[in-house]
This record gives sequence, structure tokens and C-alpha cells, in this order.
Amino acid sequence: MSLSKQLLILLTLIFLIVFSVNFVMSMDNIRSYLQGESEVHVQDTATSLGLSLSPHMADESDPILRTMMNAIFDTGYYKEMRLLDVDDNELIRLTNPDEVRGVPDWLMRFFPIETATAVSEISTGWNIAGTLHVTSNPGYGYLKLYEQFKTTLKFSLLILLGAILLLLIVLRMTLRPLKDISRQADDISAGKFTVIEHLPWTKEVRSVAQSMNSMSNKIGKTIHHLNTRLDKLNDNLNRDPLTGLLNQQTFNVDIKQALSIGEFGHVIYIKFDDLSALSKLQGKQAVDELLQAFSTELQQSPFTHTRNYRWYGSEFAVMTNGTTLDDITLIAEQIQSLANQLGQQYQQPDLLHMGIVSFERSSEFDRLMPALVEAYEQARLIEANAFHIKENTLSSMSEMHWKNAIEQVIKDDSAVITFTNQAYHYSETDPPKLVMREAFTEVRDSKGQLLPIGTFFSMAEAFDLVEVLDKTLVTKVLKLIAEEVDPAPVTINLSLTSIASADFRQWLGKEVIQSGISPSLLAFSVTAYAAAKDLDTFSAFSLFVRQFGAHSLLKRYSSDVIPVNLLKDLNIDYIRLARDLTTDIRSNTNKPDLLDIIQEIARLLEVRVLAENVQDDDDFMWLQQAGLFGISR
Amino acid sequence: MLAWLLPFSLPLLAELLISESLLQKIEAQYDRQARQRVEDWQRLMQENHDLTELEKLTLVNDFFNNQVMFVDDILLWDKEDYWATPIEMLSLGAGDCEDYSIAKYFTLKQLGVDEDKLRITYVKAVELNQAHMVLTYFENRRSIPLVLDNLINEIQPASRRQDLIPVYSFNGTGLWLAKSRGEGQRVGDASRLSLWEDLAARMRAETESAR
Repeated sequence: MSLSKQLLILLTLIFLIVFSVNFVMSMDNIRSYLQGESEVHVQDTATSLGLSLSPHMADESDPILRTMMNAIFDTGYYKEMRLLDVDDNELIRLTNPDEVRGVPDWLMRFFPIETATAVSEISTGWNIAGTLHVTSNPGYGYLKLYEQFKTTLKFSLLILLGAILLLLIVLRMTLRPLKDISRQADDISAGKFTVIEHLPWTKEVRSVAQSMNSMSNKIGKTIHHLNTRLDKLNDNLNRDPLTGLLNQQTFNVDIKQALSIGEFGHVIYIKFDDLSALSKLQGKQAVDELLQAFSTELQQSPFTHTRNYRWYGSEFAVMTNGTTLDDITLIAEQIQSLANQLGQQYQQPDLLHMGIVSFERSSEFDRLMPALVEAYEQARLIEANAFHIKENTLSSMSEMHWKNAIEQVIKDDSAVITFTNQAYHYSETDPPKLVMREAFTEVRDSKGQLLPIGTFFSMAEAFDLVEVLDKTLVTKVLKLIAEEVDPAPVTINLSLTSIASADFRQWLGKEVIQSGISPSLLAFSVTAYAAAKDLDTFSAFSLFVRQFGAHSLLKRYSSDVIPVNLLKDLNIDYIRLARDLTTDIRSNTNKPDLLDIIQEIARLLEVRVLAENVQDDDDFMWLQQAGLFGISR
Repeated sequence: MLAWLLPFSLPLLAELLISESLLQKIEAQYDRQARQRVEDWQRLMQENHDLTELEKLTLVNDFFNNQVMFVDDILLWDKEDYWATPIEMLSLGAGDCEDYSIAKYFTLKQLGVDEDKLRITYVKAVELNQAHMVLTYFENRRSIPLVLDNLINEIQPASRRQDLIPVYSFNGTGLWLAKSRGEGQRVGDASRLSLWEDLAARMRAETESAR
């Protein structure tokens, strides 16, 4: 219950008690006053009527006695009048029925007005002639009391309502800043470092708001600072130190990403044929200068959508997106002329050769390197600095075949799920605990041949079959988990198309609930570079699964694909680091720092970090000490 | 602390124990004779319980008629009507008709005369043509009362007092009872104040303060 509600209830209760006590006391005061008044009144009547009767008491049967008593009695203020003679024999008795109309019984029970009786002695001359007893009629008192009750109640209620209204307004005004602070705390915990602009006027709350602002600023600055450092480290990690070009790991990530999202284009593989000869003739320095000059010229290429890489030593690559055969020929010719020019400059006319292959959606990564080397070898046969282009060599099957294979897998429900990448949480005190595994899919063609899974999904996407495929696989995974006795959490990979689909989300929510599996065991995942294509969709999906208690995971995460500070906006629960980041950690000066910072920010943002397939013991030890949430080997 | 409530619930004269300090105070404030009158009064109340009622009536009537001089309230107290307590009256050695009647009433009550037989009666003094007050004694409810008056020393039956026309009489007991019903809470009630109550309060104060 909110603080304002608690205060409102408490204060209203106090008001109510105060008003009630006050009300009852004031009613009792009125009752007591009315009772006193009635006593005075009957005493006055007894005395004055007694005095009036005195001269006529000599004849006790004189009708004037009754007449005079009637005259007073019939005003209605009296319940009873009795005239007794000197020996206490009753001479006259007048009574009114003992009923009070128009006054509720409970009122008379709560505030009883006693009937007052007054006695006055009557004499004739010097002698005592008798006594007059006058008893009040409490009905008048009750009527008056009831009138007073209604009026007092009406005004009391009005004042009470007014007081509560005033209280409500004051509470609203006083507690509004607390709401702002609470919202700010939520923002901070969500990784948004907001500041309260209008400081509240209540001293204590103001001080809290200032502290919160200061904290928010500090954390925001820290994260910004760490992020800037990460950018630098990433850049160092992704680039070749001599030429400043991107390195081979980056190429691998880039080409896989391009393939997975169905892009097409070309890869140019460039190899300097004999740099060792040049080194012998002109020295190592000259070789470095040559490579730097080549790289500089390459970077100044007028073509957009090209990325340049230095893989290793004398090997370079250029990746182009969306290029046709004509485009790539033009680019290759430019590099050729650059090579000719540099060849003359360094007295090495036969400087390099280029192997070029095209790639498209159905291309398989594993076929890329052999194809490039083959093309390069063919280029070497042509002439100095020549290039050779090979088209459509990266696919094992035609698109039509892919379509058939995918449809067959869906129809036969023949995909096989295995749980791999078992990630354990290591702590000093407890034995390792299985905290995550991945549902891995294997598909085979009609001949039983294993199909490359990346290409399989990429093609499924192309033929609009991926959503159906994802549904089939999710159902399979849920069924497998349901069969387990004490299941550990599972990562389930989905395509960006599926998570963007409202129909798929609705289906997924229902399916998970119907499965009876605890949603907290499920982490739905896409690759970081797929998510980077459409962050809004991924964020909305993460929020959606979080609503029914499941989690989201970004796999192959590295901070250059999605900056760390964006993680909270994505409502992400887990990141699984790209394998390159967690391989040969100590051999690279930048990696330990980079991992430290990612882990630090992730901890601040409450995101759990996983590392996959850590082979090397040194790497494993390092990651364990860094306190990653889970490591798989 | 609740001692001030006592006069409402106990016979009033039981309270009238006159201490030495009160006597000293009276002597200091008035004179030796004042003290003597009060002491005489106290002795009278203490020593005459065994007399017959008629002897008590005569003793008390004579005591006050002889010891106290009749003076109008307006001269004595600078008030139109002031009911003095017996001690006030004896201290001054003066009082008006009400003061005589009241003092006689309380003294007789202290001597053991049944309150029910005593009435304080408003009368008209025909010869003087003014309002007057006397104490009347009824041997029983049907008897002709005896009149204790400060105008004449002799106690006479009412039937022989053609100079007085009776108007209204009241009995102290009833009034005290009526008041004691309401206990202390009525004291502050302005509508209840009367000369009788004022008197009672002053009698309480006299005995309380000197204790």
C-alpha cells in the first residue's frame, strides 16, 4: 500500500475518532443541560403552582384546584402532577401517556434523560395543607436532543469531509516529490540516469532528492566514462595495429552477420605474394611502409559499403555489400592499378593477386575460405597483380533445394534438439551450479546429410518459413524440458522475424503458460547483431517475455555491436559474450580491461553475463575470477 | 480534597465545630464580645441536648433575640438582601429577620429537633407593613405551629399572631436533599444559585478555613 494511502487512512481514522468523541461528548453535554433545565423547570412549577393553590386548599374538593392544575399541566411539559393532602392521600392526579414520538429508541438508550420530580409544600394560612408533586415529561428534552443530534451530526460530517479533503490535498502536495524520487529510483535501476528538476520544499525530502540526483549523475558519468573506454578498447581489439584496418576476427563476425541476415555481395581476398623477398632487399621497414601505403589507399576507395581488413601478415580482404559483377570488377581493377603503382614504387612489379567470390543468402561460411584460396590460385595463373572472380560457389544447394529441405523438416518435424553449452556458475563456497544451457537444433536433408544450421535459418527467413519453424522448435524444446525432473534454465534461439511478429508473441505466451514449465527457466535469445538491426523490436519483445516471467538473452554479444549502456533499454536479462572476447584473454592487452568493464557495467545494470565454449584453462580461470554469472566449456 | 462536598451529604450542623483558630480569627477581626457570643452559642448547642423540645425552642429563641440586635441588611451588609451565617451574625452581634430565623433553625437542628417539624416562613408583618420572616415549629403536620419571631420575645401559637399573614414556608431538609441529589456538579451551575446555597457555601467556608 502506498505511503499516501496509509497516511490518509491513519489520519482519517484519527479525525474520525476525534470527531466521534467530540460528538458524543457534545451530545452528552446537551443532554445534561436539558436534564438540569427540566429539573429547574419542574421545581419552579411546583413552587409557583403550590403558591397559587395555597388559598384554595382550605376546601380540598374545590374544582378550582383541578382547573388550575389542568391549566398548567395541559401545556404538555409535564408527565405527571399529583396533589396530596396533609396525610399524603392523593387528591388529584394528572398523567400524560409515557411515549415519545419522533425520536429513535437508540438515541434514548444512549442519552437517557431522567424524569425530574419536584415537590412543594402547600399551606393554608399557618397550617400545612398538603404537597404538590410535579414530574417532567422527558419527551420535550428528547425531541430537542434529537434535533440537536441531527444538526450536530450534519455539521460534524461536513467538517469531517472538509478536513479529509484538505488532508488529501496536503498529502498529495507533500508526497508528490516522493513519487518523483520513486520514479527516479526505478529509472536508475533501469539504467536511465535521470535527474529531478524541481526540488521539493519539504526539507528532508529535498535532501533525499538532492542525494538521489547526485547519485544518478555519478553513476551516469561512471557508465559514460566506462563506455568511452570500452569504445577505445573495442577499436583496439578489432583493428590491426600496423595498418589500422579491421582484423580477421572482425571479418569473421561481419561475414557471418551478413550471411545470417541474407545480404549479398563479394569478398576480395588479397595476398602479397613475396614480401620476404622485399624485406631482404629493402628491409623490414620498407615492407611496413608498403603495407601502410596500401592500406591507406584502400581506405580511400570511393566505393561505399566496402570494409577493408588485414587478416594476417600479407593477407588482406575487402568485403562489399550489394555489389554486382560489374561493381566488383571495377573495384578489383582499382586495387589492381594501386598494386601496379606500388609495385613500380617498390621495384616489385608482381606484388599481389586477388581471389574474389560472391556471397548471398544461401552461402555457407565454411565454404568461403577454400573458395577464396582457389580463386586466388587461379588469379596467380593469369598475370602480375591479377584477380579472378568466382560466382555462386558458396552454396551446396540451390535455393529451390533449400526450400524443399526446410519444408520437409517442418512437415516431418524432423529437427533434433540437444542441450549444449552447459554454463555453470562457479563460487568459492558452493559446488558449480548449472545456470544455463542452449537448445541446439540439428537438421538433415532427405539423404540424412547434416545441413549448415546458419544457412538453414537464413534460407527459412528468405522463404517466410522461419516463424513456423521457430514455433515447431519452441514446442519441441518445451516438451523436452517438461519431461525433465529438475530442469535447468534453457536458452531458446529465435529469429528477429518471429520476435517482431505479434502473432508469434501471442502464441509464445500461450504456449509457455500451457506447458506448465516455470517461465523463469526460459531465456529467449537472438544474436546481438540481429538485435542491433532492430533494437526497438527486441526491446519490446524482452519486455513482453518479462511480463510473463521469462527472460531474454543476447548471444554473441560484444560492446561494439550494441553499446553496454543500451542494455537496460533493451530490458535484457542475460548477455552471452562473443567467443572471440573470451579466447586468449591474457595474450591481448585490451581484452582483460574490456571484459572487466563489460562485467562491471553489467553488474550495475543487473544484467547477467555468460561466456560460451571456453577451451583454455587460463581463460577459464580468468573468467571465473572476474565473477561471470555462468561459463560453459 | 473532596471534603468540600461533605456539607451536601451530611447534616449541615454536624459540620459546625468551631475551632480555636476560628475563635481567634473572630476576636482579631471583631472584638472580645464577638468571640464570647460565638463561644456562648457553641456551649448552648453542646450542653442542652437533654431539654424538652419546648425548652429548646425557648432557649434558642431567647438566646438570639437577646444576643443579636436587629439591623437592616442594607445598613449591615450594604445589600438589599443578605442571608448571614449564624457565625457572621453572632460575630457582628446584629442581623435581620432572615438571619434570626436561619440561626434559630440551624441551632435547633443541632440540638436534635427534627427538621421536619421546622419551617422557615415568609410572612407579611401587618403593623410594620413589610415583608418579614419567622421560624415556625409544628409539633405534628396537623397542629397549629409555634412562631419564633425576633419582633417579640415570647413564642406564641400562630393562631395568636394576627399581626402576621403567612405567605410561603419551606423546609430546609427538602432543599438540602434536592441539592445533594445533584452532588458537586451543580455547584458551578449559575441557574441553581440562591440565597440558601450562598449561605451554605459561606458556612462551609467558615468551618473549612479555620480548621
